[in-house]
Amino acid sequence: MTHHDTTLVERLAGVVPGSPIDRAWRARAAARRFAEEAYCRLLHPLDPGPISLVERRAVAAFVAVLNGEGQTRDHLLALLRDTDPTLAPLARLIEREAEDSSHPGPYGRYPAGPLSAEDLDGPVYAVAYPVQHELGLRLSAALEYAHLVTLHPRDATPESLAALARAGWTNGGVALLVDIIGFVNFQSRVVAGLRSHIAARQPQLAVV
Amino acid sequence: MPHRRVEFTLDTPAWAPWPGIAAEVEALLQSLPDTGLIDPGPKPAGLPRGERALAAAAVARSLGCRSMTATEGRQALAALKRDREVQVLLEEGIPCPLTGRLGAVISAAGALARSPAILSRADLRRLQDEKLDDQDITDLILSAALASWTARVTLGLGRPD
Repeated sequence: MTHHDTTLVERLAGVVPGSPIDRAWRARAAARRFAEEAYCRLLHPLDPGPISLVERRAVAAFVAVLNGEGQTRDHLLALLRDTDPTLAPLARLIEREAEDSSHPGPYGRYPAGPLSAEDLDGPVYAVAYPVQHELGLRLSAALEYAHLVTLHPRDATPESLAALARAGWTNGGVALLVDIIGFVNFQSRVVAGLRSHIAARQPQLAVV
Repeated sequence: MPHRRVEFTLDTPAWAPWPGIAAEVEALLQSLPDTGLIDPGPKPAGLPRGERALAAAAVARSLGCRSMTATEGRQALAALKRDREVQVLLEEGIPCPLTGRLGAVISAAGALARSPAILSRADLRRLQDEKLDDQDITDLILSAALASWTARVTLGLGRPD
């Protein structure tokens, strides 16, 4: 059986065409189409609008590295690198920044009260000054927000949005930014989940 | 079961964006995924609606989004009629002490809510032991992943409760 209409999720998750998990995934046609369209809309836009293509892909690669799903990470780092022949250094910098600030999540604090028992401390990412110089204020602020929303979203406050505004982000840009961050968190989890599910079936296949 | 943490409740008010960004958020919300996207046709049926909502509630609970935990928790309760299990999720969060099928669904969703997301062999075996098939597990992964997207948008742009 051949499927010419494969989506990014299937390629990254290593879904074998015609396998039981392929059938189960394809049975969710609306979600499958939605995932592919979101990927195209956010990371291959016809009109980038308030966030440049490089900014979109830099944030996406950063979030993918934070989430640690290998296939999604490799794909999105390569996508950033291949956007333009001059971007290899930026891709390396993004990868290093994400690796150095990655921490098991989700963590964060609740308002003082009974839920404080669930508070979990973890790092707040702030781009160091020399790196800020390389990334620019706008992208630096975006990465700081992406780290917050990915690893400790319960710590977000109106001040998080104010910091983006000070760095030159419009509200329209912020809405797209959080959508990109959310999407990569989604994509990393679908791929991680499907890969685990596929891997867990392997011993059974080997016996057959 | 001790009833000490009441902050995650089913009657938490609806989510609202932070002041100043409401108009842009309105447009974004129209495009956001929800668990309803997993449209179970007549065949294969897949994970029941209440369990999809429960998985989404578990992710929202893990991330700390009180409004979304309430919304998904109400849907789970309406479909499943399992007051105790929903209440335990609200009060105890992740890791969740529940056993049985709903405990397995919540634990797997909680594992997918983590960064990095790791659905272990033990998580998967537990789901299979509770009679979840390939379609059910695929639906659970999708529900948890979609909720991981939505909860980040709501926490990133508005009041958590």
